Amino acid sequence: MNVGALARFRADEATATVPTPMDTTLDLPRAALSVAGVTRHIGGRDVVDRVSFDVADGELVVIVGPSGCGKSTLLRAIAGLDPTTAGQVILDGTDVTALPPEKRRIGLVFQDHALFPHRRVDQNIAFGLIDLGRADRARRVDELLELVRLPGVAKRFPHELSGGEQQRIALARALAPDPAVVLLDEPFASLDPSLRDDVRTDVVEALRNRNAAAVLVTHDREEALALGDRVAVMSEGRMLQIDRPDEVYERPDDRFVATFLGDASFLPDPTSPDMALMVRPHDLSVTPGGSDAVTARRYLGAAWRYTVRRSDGSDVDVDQAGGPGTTPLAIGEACTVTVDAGHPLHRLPG
Amino acid sequence: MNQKHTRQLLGSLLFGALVLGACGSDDDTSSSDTGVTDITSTPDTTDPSATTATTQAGSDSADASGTITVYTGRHYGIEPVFEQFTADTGIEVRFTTGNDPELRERLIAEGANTPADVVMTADAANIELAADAGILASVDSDILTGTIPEELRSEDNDWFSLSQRARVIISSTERVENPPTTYAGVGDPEWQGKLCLRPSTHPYTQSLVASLIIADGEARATEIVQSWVDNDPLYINSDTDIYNAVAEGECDIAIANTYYLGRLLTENPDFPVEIVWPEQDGRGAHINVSTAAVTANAPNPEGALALIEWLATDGQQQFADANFEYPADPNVEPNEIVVGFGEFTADLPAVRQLGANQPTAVEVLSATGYE
Amino acid sequence: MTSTITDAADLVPHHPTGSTDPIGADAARPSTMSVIGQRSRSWVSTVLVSAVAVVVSIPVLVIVWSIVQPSTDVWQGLWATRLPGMIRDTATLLIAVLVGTLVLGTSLAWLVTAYQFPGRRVLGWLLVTPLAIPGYVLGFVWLDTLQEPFGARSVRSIWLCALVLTITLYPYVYLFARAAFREQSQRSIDVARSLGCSRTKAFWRVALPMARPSLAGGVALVGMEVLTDVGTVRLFNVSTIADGVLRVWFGSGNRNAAAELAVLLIGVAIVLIAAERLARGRARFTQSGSRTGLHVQRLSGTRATTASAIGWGVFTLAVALPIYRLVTWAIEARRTDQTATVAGDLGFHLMSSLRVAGIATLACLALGLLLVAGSNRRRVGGTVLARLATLGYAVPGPVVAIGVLVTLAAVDRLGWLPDGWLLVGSFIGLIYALVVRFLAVAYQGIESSVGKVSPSVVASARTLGAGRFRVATQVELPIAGAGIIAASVLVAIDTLKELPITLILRPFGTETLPIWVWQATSESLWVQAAVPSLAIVAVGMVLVAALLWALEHGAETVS
Repeated sequence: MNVGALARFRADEATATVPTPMDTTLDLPRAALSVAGVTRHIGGRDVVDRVSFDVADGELVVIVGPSGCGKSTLLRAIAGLDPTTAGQVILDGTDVTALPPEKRRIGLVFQDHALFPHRRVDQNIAFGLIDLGRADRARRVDELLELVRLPGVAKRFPHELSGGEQQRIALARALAPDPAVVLLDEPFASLDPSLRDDVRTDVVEALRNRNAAAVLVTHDREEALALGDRVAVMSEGRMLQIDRPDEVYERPDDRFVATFLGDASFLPDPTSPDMALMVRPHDLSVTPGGSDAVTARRYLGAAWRYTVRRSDGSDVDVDQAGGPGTTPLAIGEACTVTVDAGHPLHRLPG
Repeated sequence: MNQKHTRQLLGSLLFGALVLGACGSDDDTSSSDTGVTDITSTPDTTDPSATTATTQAGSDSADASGTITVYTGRHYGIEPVFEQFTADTGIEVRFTTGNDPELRERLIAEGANTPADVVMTADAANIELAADAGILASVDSDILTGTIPEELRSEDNDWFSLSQRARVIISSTERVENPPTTYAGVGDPEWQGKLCLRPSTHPYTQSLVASLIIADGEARATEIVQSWVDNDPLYINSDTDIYNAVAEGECDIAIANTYYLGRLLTENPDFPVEIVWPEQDGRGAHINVSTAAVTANAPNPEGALALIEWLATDGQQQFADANFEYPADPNVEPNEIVVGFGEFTADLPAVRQLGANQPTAVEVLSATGYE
Repeated sequence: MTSTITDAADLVPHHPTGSTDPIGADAARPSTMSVIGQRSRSWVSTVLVSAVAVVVSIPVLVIVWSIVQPSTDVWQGLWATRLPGMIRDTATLLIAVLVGTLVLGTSLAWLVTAYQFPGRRVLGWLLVTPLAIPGYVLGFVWLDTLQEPFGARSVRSIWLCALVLTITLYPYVYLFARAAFREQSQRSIDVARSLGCSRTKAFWRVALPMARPSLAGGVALVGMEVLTDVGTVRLFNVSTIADGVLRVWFGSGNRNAAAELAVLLIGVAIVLIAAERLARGRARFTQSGSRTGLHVQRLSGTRATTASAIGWGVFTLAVALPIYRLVTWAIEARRTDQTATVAGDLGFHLMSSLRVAGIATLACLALGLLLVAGSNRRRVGGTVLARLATLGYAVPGPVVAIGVLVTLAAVDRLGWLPDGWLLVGSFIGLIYALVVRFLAVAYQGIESSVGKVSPSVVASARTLGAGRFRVATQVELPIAGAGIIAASVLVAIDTLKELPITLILRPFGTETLPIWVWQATSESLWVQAAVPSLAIVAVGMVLVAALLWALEHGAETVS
């Protein structure tokens, strides 16, 4: 279910009025999570500044941004761990803004998994299931262990598991009481890079199988683009853009979003003085000989990426496809950079 | 990890606290049941009717059975004396021990609520301070006025000495030929480095200095104490250790109580230390006393008086002998070892004034640098 | 005759089971969201905490109140005579013991943490056992033992007193240092070595400075003990300020001046604690990065033997020899039939001691939990009320006793209790006084143990639907359990050894082991003091074993 197109906010419209949580005129299913104008003011500044977005069942929204942009604070505010200065949080149609965390139906997965060290895995998972009878609880625990693909570890203690296993158990625990939304705060940051991919896949699959609405916070842009049904870019407390990954990557609303999600260079727009054209390294090509010069290069495996000083003094990043037989350009070598995009260049302010 | 056990342990501990706390807070009930501080624990000597009375709980007033409650700072050897009292009279005695000043503070704080009938001290100054604080009761007893000499009881008849102890000069029998015969003489330079004294914190020392003030005035007393200090004495906070120090050659002379020698001679008749009676040409040796008094708010003043009267008469011998002291009643013969110390003149008139002069004594001790 | 941990007024130093957290450090602590950690939203908990704090601090405030009318002439007199000497002696003793325990505790901790040699593990435990021996017992054992070879004069010196106190108190520094060294990552040492430090140099330049906050905590604790000790110093003719308080009070009968001296003492204690905070600095205690622990270096040959010898030597001096001496005395006491007192036999005194220590410990535990649960540790100043309840730790035992006496007597006079029931001289009164004195120990131990529970664990629990009570009982308490047990054990050890308060306030029928010791030692009858002393040590050893168990099972000693 993708409501991206309809829920898209452009940077220059972000200062508009706070939208109503449920846009009933569009006859959509009710959002699992609705964040409306949430603001958190700490020490003289707005750490979270009027953020609004919706998450539907089965949808994974990834919030990405640099350190200190307020994404974790936003998550904590949604969870109820920290209070909000303004705005509302609505879960499954109920305004939970005034409720403490234990009364909200949310699941939380932390970077450090935060499993209860003094309880076994099955006891950890069952912690939120006190309303169920013993048999039901056991059944649910087994279900969840299957879901995260760790059927045999029920009787172990957290410290006996690997990092990736711990994180999956943390997810299972969060999912157990069937929350309205699952919040994940940089869940893969402390895992080994080689394991990260597998754990990520497992987590996303588990969430999908449960049709759970989820918000995942990360500072890793590749992760954001790879995992999210929609990606939201935050900076300095504001949510700059939230849209499908390919939309935010290829059609960012402003320079910050553009450069945050990938290398980008900007060319002046001939048609309009205060707009620019965005080019990604793969939109350009470079040939030997000319008035530009290579100032740096690095090898990415799939391509050589050069930084080229153009004759007008600006710098651009250019990719040259790799492969056996390719001779890379040397540093200092003269070259020419041309636009070779195969699609119209995206225009954005600035 | 035994977290479950930890939880259970904590839980049961907390629960146990409530239970035990409830039981434990029954202060006297529980203690009376064990009955061990109460002298009545020894069978055969008690009147059955008296025994039942001791099981009453925290209520200390309206003590119909007659149990007498004593706060005593003189705790050495006191229990057999009380036992004998109970054997003779059938009245129970329960007592608590402590340091004199602390017991006094407790009596002052308790005020009208005090359970104590009798207070006993190991020294005169402390009982005088208690009298000054208004916590003693004046009694009218012919027995007491008859047996205890006037100088050994207060003018208001609110406290009575039960035994005397002399604080004298002691010297090594092996090394000292001419020990000093006055307290001032202890300060003679020939005893430089060979002198042992009790520190100023102890009431014995303070009372001794008070007696110097009474005899010669503050200025002269200061001179005398200064001369002691100039002799670089070894300060030992135990008379027993002082005696041992003299015996072993750490010092040649010292000032100490006579009764410790009694204990030491009992163990070792050849103990090489002798008593030198000071001031025999003048006022006599400094005397301090063990005292007893009825408290101002005693729940059982009749019993209190009965106990003190007994201690002054039938109990005199035992009371004094238990600690090798001299009975307050001059007609009672002391223990034979004590008799062996010799006849001496005692500075009795000073006894009543020791309390009043004690603060000055403390100042003198401070001023002279006496440790 | 206090031999117990003492603390500053409202600034409680590190305690072996956790850190002190004087006002201001709260901000550095991560926020927790549970009952025990969370700011309390309800006024009920504020009222409860206030009530407990006020009730527990009244006796000390009663003492402090007298400073409102300073008695200048007494002060002048004191200053002209004893006060300079007292200050000098206190300072000398304090510095000597602080240095001594620091050196001894730290080096022993390093020895058993960084090196492997035969018997290291057992030694690691045994070096904690001096905690089980009261200072006043160790004092008279050493005094009497050394008197013969060295003479009575040289034995009564401030230096021997300092040595005795060092031996009794180093375990606090040892425990802190050992925990700090254990937590250190080998990586830091490796980095230092790659930069050219030999292993020894790495100790001085890396391990030691990193352990500095913990060491500061342990040293501050020792300092409190030294400041409020009255039993041990008297044995050696050392006149400290604490001793001066008693002199002035009981010698001159001047309660005001004595109280003022006591306030001076509290002031010194506060300075000490402030210094400890400075030494701690803004350092964070927990290591980031993997806790691989220190790489232990195996010793062999003469080095192993030397290491063993040092450790065993200290243990012999501090524990084995004194116990041996006590045992020989006890045998002699048995022979001359002096194994009972007026009150009863060993069993009676033992039961009294266990009862008093047991109930007092439980009371401190319960109130400590209440205070920690009810305080807002996130806000600066949120713990002020709870700190108030820890005042008693900075005050010498006899002074606390008098304060309690005055307080309880005043309550008795109000006549609120049913007819005939009195607080003075009651069991509850005694427990109350012990709580006033030792609540600090329980409070800081519990506070730091609970503070260690990871905030994300607590947050997870809350999002899983656990209300505050469930979070407290099913998450925080179990995780902090071992630390809370350790704190309780330390309170138990303190109350077991306690003397001056018990002496003044005990009810009829309660005659503890330390009382027996006092009755014997006040007449210099060491032989008679041996049996009760050994009993105290025996129970103390059991408690130390419990402490070691708690430490092994996750109680951390540093925060």
